[in-house]
Amino acid sequence: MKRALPLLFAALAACSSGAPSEATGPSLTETPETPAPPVDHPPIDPAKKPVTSAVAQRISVAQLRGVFPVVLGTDVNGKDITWMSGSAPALDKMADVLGEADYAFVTQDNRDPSALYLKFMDDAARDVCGRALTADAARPKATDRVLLRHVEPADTATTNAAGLDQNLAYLLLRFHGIKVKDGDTARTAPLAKLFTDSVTAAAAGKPATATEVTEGWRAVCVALITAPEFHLY
Amino acid sequence: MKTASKQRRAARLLGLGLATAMLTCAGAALADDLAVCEAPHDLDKYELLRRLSLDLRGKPPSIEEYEALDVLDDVPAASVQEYVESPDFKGTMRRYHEAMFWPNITPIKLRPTNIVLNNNKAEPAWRISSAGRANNFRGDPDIDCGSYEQKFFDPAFPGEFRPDPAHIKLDAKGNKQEGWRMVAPYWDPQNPIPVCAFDAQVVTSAKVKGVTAACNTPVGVSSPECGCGQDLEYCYPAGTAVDTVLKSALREQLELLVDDVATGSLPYTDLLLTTKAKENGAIAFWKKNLATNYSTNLTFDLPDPQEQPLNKKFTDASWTDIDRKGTHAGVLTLPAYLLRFPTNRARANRFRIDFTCQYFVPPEKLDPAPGCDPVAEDITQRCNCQYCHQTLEPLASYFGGFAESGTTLMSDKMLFPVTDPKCNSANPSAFCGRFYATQPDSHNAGTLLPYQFADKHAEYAPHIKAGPRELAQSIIDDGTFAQCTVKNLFYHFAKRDIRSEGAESDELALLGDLASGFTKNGYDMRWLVQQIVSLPQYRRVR
Repeated sequence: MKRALPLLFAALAACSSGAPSEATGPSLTETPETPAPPVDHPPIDPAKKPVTSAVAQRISVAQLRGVFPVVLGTDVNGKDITWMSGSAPALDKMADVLGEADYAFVTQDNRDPSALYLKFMDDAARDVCGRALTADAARPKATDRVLLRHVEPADTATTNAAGLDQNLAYLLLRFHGIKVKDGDTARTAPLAKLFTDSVTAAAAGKPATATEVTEGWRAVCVALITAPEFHLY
Repeated sequence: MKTASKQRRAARLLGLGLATAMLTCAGAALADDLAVCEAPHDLDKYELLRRLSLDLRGKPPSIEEYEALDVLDDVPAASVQEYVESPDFKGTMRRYHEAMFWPNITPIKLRPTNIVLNNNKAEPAWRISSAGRANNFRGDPDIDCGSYEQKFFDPAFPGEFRPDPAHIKLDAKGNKQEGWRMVAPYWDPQNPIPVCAFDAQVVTSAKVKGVTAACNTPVGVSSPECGCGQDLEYCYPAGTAVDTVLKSALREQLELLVDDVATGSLPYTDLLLTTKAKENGAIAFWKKNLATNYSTNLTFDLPDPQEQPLNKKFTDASWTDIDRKGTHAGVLTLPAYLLRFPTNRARANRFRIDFTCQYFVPPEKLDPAPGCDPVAEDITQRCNCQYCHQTLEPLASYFGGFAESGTTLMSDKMLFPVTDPKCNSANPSAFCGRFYATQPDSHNAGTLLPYQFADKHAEYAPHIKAGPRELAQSIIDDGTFAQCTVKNLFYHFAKRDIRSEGAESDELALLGDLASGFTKNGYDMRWLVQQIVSLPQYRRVR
């Protein structure tokens, strides 16, 4: 199923591509650089041209460096959370494979949401979510917490359904910039199901404690970071 | 323990599965959307704020910034203003311009081998491992200094630390061996290092073949009296201690100019017109002490004839305003640009792409022009080549005053006469081979390369004399610069070209309005950015 994800990104990117510029001139062709649809993209209906909107694009590695600290806050030591590989910032270590130009050997950012990019974002999500949850666990006041802002650490859908919905709506805004209208539980329902199923599985038939609930929030956090809405804008 | 571990793993797998399922659900929804993906819709205020923040600050809004929108109808103009005045916007503009100038010059080799001090762990001290220098010092390139401190220096030359001939060892062949002495190197004065005493001599000039030459020049360096000078100032260390600092400084010098024109008080036209620049210790030190010792098979970075490098220590990280005068032209003649684009053609082509928005793209099929010469020496006349080069060569000639694979303004006519009969030779000197048309059967043999075809193209000589600033001024005057800047910025933010050409030119008037407004507003980059991110096109997505 995960193989579908690159296709989704590709499809999104495909929607957003403008038409290629026409070549001009007899033998010398001067063509402005322009985004073009992927080779397998169906023809764009001429009746729907011109495209008057901006185009969606994958966030860059430089932007990812800015995104993680804002979305996830600080770790237990007060340091901005970012994806780490050992003691090195992984976004620096993996910059080239994630498509960041170094302007020495690679002169253009590759913003394709490639399979490799998605694999690394999956790794990144697990790393940063773990540290955000650990930091939250050390914050007794809900207003100080980043992920569990409107719930207590042991709250579940059974014990605090309203809080769960409120927290998921808050996370959608924080992670994706998507505002969920009051009472619009349809928007949060898939995440609520993910949370509850994860907690249930972790509890393995026993009453869920904060430990199992944490697994539910971990799944939600990873889902939010690996979602297309996090990476396209 | 094993059970708990299995449960956690199961939970993680389930979480993963469900996360994937959720994404697939989202994907299904998106797949539905694909059918109507060509129908753009306006971003809501929260999505717009996210787009603005990512584009202008390189990070998303904080939750507080999102929540502040709850009581507002739209993203306030003040937020955009705040974003473009934030320090983060400076970083965004730097990144935008890095994509234009590719200012990473890390792979370029600046250090001639004969002035590089190596720290071979098997040897007792740092020394220049160039065979020629070692041979000059000791008589045998394989002899290094002895593992003892050189305490006695020639009293006839006080302060120059020449090893006292009475206190150096001689082998049966008459080869010399000295000891080492501790020196506080200019790149790390707090940590003295042992340096072989010949290599550490503090002599400023020496007689070579009857001519006095500075020790930090290609001639002087061949004298056995010349070492690395005071604090080793005429030598590079092997490794990154100087190389990385210098190349980073050259990159930063370019970025500082970008700061001034994109987010500072200077008009954006100064990116191409100003003769001002900033210089820190690393650059000033390099120009004064190291770049003077050029090698004809490396970059050529002699200071310009009228250039007076600041008297700064290498470790002085402060930046000082300097005026480079002459035909210098903003970023186009900064070392980082000249080194990154080492030929005049590359420099002109990059200029053309960045500031006129024109590109050379080879056609699928080449049709030689009737009567063209397939082997013409003048590339503007050679079959097929001529299609691009008839445009490119005149542009490249504007850069002809600057050394290719180097940074030097070649205005010293003693060093760079337009014609030099000595260079008309089948066996030219390395210097001639580097800068002149040499082979006797070549067109205008003995002529400085940028002038080789100046007799056939009357515009070349004036272009070389005027330099790239005149080229820049011409595209500013005719509006090309403003229009291209609008096109580039529009593409950057809307992620598509502005439609101003061919059949799809419904945004031609918008292009004109933005370009004209940009000009009227003193080429204020922040103003232009604010205009573009306020357009309906930017605030709509599909």
